[in-house]
Amino acid sequence: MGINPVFFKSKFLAIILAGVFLLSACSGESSSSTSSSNCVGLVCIEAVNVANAGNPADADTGFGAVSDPYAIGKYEVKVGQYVVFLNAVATTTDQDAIRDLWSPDMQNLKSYVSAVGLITRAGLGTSTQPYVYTEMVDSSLGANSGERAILNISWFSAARFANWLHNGATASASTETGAYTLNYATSGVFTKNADARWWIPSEDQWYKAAYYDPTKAGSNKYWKYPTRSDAAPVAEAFPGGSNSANYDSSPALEGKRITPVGVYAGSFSYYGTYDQAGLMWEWNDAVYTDYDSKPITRSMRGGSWSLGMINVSKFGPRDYEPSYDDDDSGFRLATTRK
Amino acid sequence: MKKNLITNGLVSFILAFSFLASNVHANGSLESVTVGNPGNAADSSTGYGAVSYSFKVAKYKVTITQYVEFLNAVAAAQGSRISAGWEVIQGLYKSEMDKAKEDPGVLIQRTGDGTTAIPYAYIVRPSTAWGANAGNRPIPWVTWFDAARFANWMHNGKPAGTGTETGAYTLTNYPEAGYVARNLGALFWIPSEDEWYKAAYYDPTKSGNSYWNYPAKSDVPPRIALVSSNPAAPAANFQNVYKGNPAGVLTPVGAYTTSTSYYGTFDQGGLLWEWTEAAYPNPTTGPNRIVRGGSWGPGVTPLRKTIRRDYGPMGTDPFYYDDDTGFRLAMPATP
Repeated sequence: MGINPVFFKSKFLAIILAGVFLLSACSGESSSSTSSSNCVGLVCIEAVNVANAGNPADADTGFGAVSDPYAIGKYEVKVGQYVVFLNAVATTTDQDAIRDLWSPDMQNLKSYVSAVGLITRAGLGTSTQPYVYTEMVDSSLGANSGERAILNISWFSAARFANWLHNGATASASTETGAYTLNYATSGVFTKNADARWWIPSEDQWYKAAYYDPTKAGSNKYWKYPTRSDAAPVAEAFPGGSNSANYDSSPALEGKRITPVGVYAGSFSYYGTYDQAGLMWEWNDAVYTDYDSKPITRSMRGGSWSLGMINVSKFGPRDYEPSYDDDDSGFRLATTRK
Repeated sequence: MKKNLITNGLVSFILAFSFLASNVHANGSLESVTVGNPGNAADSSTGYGAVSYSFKVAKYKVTITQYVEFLNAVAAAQGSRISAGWEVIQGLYKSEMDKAKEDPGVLIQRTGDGTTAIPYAYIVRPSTAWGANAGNRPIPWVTWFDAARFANWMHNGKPAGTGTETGAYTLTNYPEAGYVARNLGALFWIPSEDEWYKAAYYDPTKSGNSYWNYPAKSDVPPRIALVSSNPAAPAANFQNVYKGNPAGVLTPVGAYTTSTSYYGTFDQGGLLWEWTEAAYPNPTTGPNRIVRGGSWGPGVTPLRKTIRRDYGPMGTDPFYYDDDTGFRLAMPATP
């Protein structure tokens, strides 16, 4: 039922691995013992360092080689964090790009996905009647309702969230410049700016954090699944065991598929990330081109609560137009190593 | 459900579809090509594609017209079946096959009530845009077991009121999930993954590793093109090129007339994902099954030889079916 962040934190400490450091406390968690706070403005994003710079690519796929150290979100971005973002940047606007940061689909989910929605919006978006965003409470989760992963995220929504963090994550921080120079664009393929402080991970950064493990036996140091396993995770109710995930439309999660992040407490990557298998597909920064070599789509990885087992493996990338969003598309961000 | 509408002011879908003349099957046999070169090596980059024997594979995905013939033969009335079996057989028809709000649009109308007095009757919904070729579009909304039952029915010579539970696959007690293997001596079957892969990507005349990255003999993605633009090969219906089209997202099989594999198959990239026989172990619900080839829907990578997906039971539904998944069948080289 409820989730006790302190319990998870101590459990994580118990299994912490050499070279893996918790970077920051998450908003709302009482965890002073684990790390220095890395809050930015109005939110805190927990991240883990990804060391072993210069690692070779996966011999099976060619992905995963990263030449520099970086850090990556320990979890997918959560409803609670996204509500703070919306109330900071999307209360009054005449721009579709800003209005579309919230989707009605965040409020009304299909019943087999979740009986309880995630975020409501009231108001008109005008200066006299600004939008107000409110986290919806799932009674079975209570105060942890905001720990659920956010969904219906387009590449642009993820990029605007990164910009907001880059600019200090305050009520006046811009969503349109910083990591990505967007200027209210809602289509097209954009490149990360060199001085980005938070960004959508490259495909190699995402892949390394999910599958790489320098302690793995054998010459190829990549697991097939993000749970440090070559066998598929078990699709079961949380917390599960050491190789469990919310994916493949688990019968145990019918109607309650949007689970809080990190609740499969014993299932994590070598670097300590959670839910890189299942829960939400996550955007990365790779670009795919068409017959004429024109950029058209971007990559997602990690699978979701929905059907399919290959999706969560290292063999399961997808690509979508950057404006695409759905009830299983989310994200986590990368940042500089601390 | 999926939201990136492409409102590409679709001009006209009227074309002279003379190419489809050869795709009308007076007696329902499936037009096929022979996949020779037995003993070919597997693709060195993926490990798939080695087939030690010659076989035939259908040139096209199973069409709406063919599926309607199947439904009228086997799913008109309960007959002598047990009621549980009739539930499964009725389920060969999905209400989604006749819903305008779904991306494929209305495909098959069912009338009657399934009794002996008023049996179900199935007809191809007409399409102004596609005219006589409305029924030559491929059938989506089919589970792996629907495809297996179609194969059995073909194997048994297309009988009326029976023939779906034995033949290529022995389906005991009308299953809708679980693992079933192909029987020796099958005359029609769902292609194995290697059979499907070889038919799609293998080309013995290609230098080096004799496999293309994409179907239709291409190492780069096909052109994302409307049929009406008469695109040069390689071209395919994928990456939402028909999304938002009032006539639906499906185009007739073989409509990209010059985009074929080395062996002469059409549409192994895009249009609809296709079921294969391959199982993906699923400790929770029994094996999922592999699909390949991509669809009309989003993405470029689904058409790549490196990409496969797996589907199985979905929540309370016994097996996955969707608006982007169909099938084609394989046959022995010599019956």
